[in-house]
Amino acid sequence: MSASTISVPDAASSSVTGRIRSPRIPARLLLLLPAIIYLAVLTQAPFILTLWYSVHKWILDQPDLGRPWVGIENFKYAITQDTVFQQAVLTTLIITVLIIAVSLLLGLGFALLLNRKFFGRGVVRALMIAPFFVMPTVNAVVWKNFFLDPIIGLFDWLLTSLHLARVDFLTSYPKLSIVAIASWQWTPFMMLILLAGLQGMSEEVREAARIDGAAGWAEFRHITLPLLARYIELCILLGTIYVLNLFGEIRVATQGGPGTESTTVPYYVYQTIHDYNDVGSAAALGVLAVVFASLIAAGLLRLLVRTFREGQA
Amino acid sequence: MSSQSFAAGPGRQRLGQAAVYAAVFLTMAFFMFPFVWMISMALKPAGEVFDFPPSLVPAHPTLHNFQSALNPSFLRYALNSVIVAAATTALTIPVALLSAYSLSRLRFPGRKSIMTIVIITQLLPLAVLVIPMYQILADWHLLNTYVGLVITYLAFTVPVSVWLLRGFLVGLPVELEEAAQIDGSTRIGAFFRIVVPLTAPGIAAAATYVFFLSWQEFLFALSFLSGDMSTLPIGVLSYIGEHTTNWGLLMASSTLVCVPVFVVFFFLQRQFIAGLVQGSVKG
Repeated sequence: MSASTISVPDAASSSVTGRIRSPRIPARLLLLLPAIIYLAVLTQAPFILTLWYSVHKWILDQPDLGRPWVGIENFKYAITQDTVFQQAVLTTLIITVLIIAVSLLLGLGFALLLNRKFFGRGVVRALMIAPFFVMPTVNAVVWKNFFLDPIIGLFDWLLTSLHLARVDFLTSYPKLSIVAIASWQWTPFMMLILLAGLQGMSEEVREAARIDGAAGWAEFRHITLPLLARYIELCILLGTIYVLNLFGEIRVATQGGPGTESTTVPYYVYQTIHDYNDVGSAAALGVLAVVFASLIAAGLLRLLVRTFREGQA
Repeated sequence: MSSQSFAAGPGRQRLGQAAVYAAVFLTMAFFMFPFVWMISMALKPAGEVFDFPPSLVPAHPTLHNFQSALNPSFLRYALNSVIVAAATTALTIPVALLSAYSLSRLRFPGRKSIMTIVIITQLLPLAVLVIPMYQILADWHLLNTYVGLVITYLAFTVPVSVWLLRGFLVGLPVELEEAAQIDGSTRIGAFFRIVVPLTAPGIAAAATYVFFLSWQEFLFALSFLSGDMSTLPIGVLSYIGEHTTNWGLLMASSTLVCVPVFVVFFFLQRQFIAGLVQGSVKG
């Protein structure tokens, strides 16, 4: 935690030096403006191009149609008539919330565990992150063929050994299978962030709470959890960005099926381009996905803030 | 640092410690299992891969799969991956550092919304970007080149890095730079002598993360590169055939792909986590 040692509260210092600093701002602007412009162009150009495509009809394998302007037609179709898209939105919501909830809860449990002192903690912690470094596609290949396969998979062997019926997980529970595959990969990441939060907590705060009679669950609920709030926020934000874009796992494990049961928005966007060559519609779906994703992220964060307000009250 | 909340009494404490070890062991098993399975498969000879019931320990372990995995085309893919990931990291960090620096130092209207917009547009499904990027790269004759792929990667590595680094720079008092300037440093000198060293943990975290993202990226590499120019994620998946798959070879190469990032992380984990958390939680 090196940076915290040199940080000084912003407000206290800026009032003193503000007067001296202000004349230099033009020079700074000249020096730094290119960086901001570059940032804007680099990150926003693809998005703006996408917006542009989304108001055109553009089908790759029908070049004679040209690229006529269609206004909000692509959006209107997606929202009012495209049932696959509507289902994909729901699937994405379910899968994302489940993956984040499962990996966050497991990650929190494991972080609390690893926050205890025991022999070899450093090595254990380093090894536990291993799943995060397996390529997502390879991870899905391993799960699909060696664990979830209804004939030769490990889970099947466990079930039949226990004299239970065989289950074809990827066909019967495609969404939950995807959740299991992705949660396994994301739990260590959540765990590491939360562990850093736990280790940054001062022992005095806990001590004081314990003297006031908080112990066990109460200490966890009213002291630990609120202090972890910002770390949980970070987990949710980073998790949402990448889990919403989940692609390799679905491509390998279910191809969006059976039917369209595990088709998520990103996968449907991919299909729209790859299988139907429909760039305009895909772009519109992409733009809708951004709106939709920011709503989910905002919703999750708001829920979180409310939970912690109650916790501190 | 730690948080033993077990009640007093040596007996209970020892029991608690045993419970912790048991729990740690189970957790390890849970996390490591598919990973260990991958390595176990890589060590099995071809006839053993689909033995039923499945066994974790190979009956006749062999390094044959690893030997055949290290073939010339795999090494070529590895070289491509290293070049692309290293170049992406080397370009992302200066751009992100300068952008983050301007966002934390300049006061202009809309400063906060820039950051929000940059992050929100990261939620765009990457599949949508394949078409515009393909067009741009085709126009500039950059398809199937390192440069083309690196440019594409910058579009999503820079925003995350700006976001991580900004948290560090916000916490850095401007007075430090001003003091250096009074002592005779130029503004740029102050930037390199004060800002860069004090942001080092954040830079290390961002660099690790960017390297990892570009090392694993699949969709763009699949769309913009082919043949000899492919990166490892694409090359490795080519072992999955339509009808037959060389499982031992696939698992051995997959193991080889994740080993470098894992080793790097093993040594950098403390800095990485501290940097990741510090920057973003503060900002």
